[in-house]
Amino acid sequence: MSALSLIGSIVDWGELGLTVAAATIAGVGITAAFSVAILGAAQFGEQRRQGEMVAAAGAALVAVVALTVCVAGIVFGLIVMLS
Amino acid sequence: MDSSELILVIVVGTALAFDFTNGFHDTANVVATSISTRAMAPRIAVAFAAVLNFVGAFISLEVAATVASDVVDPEAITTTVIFAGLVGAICWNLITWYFGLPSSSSHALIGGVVGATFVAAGVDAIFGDGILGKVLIPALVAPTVAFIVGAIAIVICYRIVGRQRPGPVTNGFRGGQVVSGGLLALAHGTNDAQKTMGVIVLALIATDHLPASGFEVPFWVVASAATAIALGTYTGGWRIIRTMGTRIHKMDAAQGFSAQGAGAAVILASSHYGFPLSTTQVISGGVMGSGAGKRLSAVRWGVAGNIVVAWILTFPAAALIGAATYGVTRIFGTGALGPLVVTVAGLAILAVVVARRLRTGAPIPA
Repeated sequence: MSALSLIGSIVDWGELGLTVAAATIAGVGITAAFSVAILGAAQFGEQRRQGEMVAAAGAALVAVVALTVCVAGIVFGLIVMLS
Repeated sequence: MDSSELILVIVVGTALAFDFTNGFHDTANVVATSISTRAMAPRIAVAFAAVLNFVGAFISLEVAATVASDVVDPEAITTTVIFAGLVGAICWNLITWYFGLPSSSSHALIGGVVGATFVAAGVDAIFGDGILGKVLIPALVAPTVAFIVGAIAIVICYRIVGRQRPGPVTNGFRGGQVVSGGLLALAHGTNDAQKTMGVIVLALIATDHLPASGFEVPFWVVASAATAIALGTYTGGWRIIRTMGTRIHKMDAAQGFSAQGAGAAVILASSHYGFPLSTTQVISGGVMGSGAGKRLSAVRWGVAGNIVVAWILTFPAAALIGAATYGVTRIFGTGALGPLVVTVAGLAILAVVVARRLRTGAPIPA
C-alpha cells in the first residue's frame, strides 16, 4: 500500500475539507464582520459630528447589522461548546 | 490502603498536576494577544481567563474516557501506564515552558501514553494509523489553516478600517479581543479540563471504583480538574505569553483580534465538524499569519522556527520520557512502589529548585 493510499484510508478527507472550509469562512467572516461594525461605528461618530444625520443613521445600521452577525457567531460558538 | 488504591491516589495527584501545567502552559493562547495590545492589564487578563477556564470545565461533561484509546490498545492501559504517560506530558510541558515555547499539551499526553504503552506491551499495542490521524495530520492542518485564515483576515481587516482614525478603531478591536479571549478561555476549560477528567475516570475504572460503562463522573473529579486548570491559568506561563504576545511579532489591536478571533472561529468550527485541532497550534499559527499578512518581514521567523521544532519534538520527546518513566517504575515491580519513588523524586527535584531560588533571592518564574 502506498503512503498516499494509506493516509487516504485513515483520514476522512470529506470531514477535513468541511473543517478547513468552515474554519476559513468562520475565521475570515467574523473578523470581516467585526471590522465592518467598527467602520460603521466610526463613520456614525464622524457623520453625526458633521450634522449629516441620514448618513449617520445608515452607518449605525451597518454597525448594528455587522455586530449582530458577530453576536450570532458567538452564540453559535457557545452552542458548539455545549453540544 | 492497598497497592492499587495508593497507585490511584498517585495517578489522580499526577493528573491534577498535569492539569495545572496544562493551564499555565496554555494561558498564553487566551491572554497573550490581549496583553500585548493592552486590551487588558496582565493580572486582570489571567484572572479573567482563569475564571472562564473554571466555568468552562463545568459546561460539558462528555468526558473523554477514551484518551489515547485510538492510539494505543485499551487493554494495555494500566494505572502505571497512565502515570508514566502523565509524567512524560508534565516534563515536556515544563521543558517547553522553560524555553517559552507554546506546544500542544494534548499531543504531549498522547505521546507520553504511547511511550509508556510501548515499553509495557510492545509495538503491537501501538496503533500507527491512530497516531497519524489524531496527532500528525491535525498538527499539519491546525497551524496551516490558522496561518492562512489569520493572514487573509488581517488583510481584509486593514482594507475595511485602514482609512479610519486609529483611536476608535484600536479601542474597538481591544473590546473585541476581550470577547474573543473569553470565548477561547471557555473553550479551553471545556476541552482541556475534560482531558484530565478522562484520565482520572480511566484510572477509577481500572481500579474498579467506577463501572466501565454507564457511569456518572463524580463531582469531586469535575471540581478538582476545574480548580487545577484555573489555578494553573491564574499562575500564568509568562515566558510563553511573552513569546506569543511580542516575540513572534509586535502586533497592533487589529492583528491581535484577527489572530484571536480567527483562532476562536477555527477551533470552534473544527470542533463542530468533529476534527478537533490543538488550541496552541491554532493560536500560534493565527498570530504568525496576522503578522505575515501585514508584512512578511514583520514575523521573526527564527522564533517561529523554534516553535515549529517544539511541535515536531512534542510527540517523540513526551513518548521517550513516558517510556523511560515506565521503565523506572518497573525496576520496583508492578505495585505502587515504582510510581511512589518517581513521585517522591519529582517532588524532591521541585523542592530543590524552589529552595535554591529562594536562597539566591531569585524570583520563582511563572
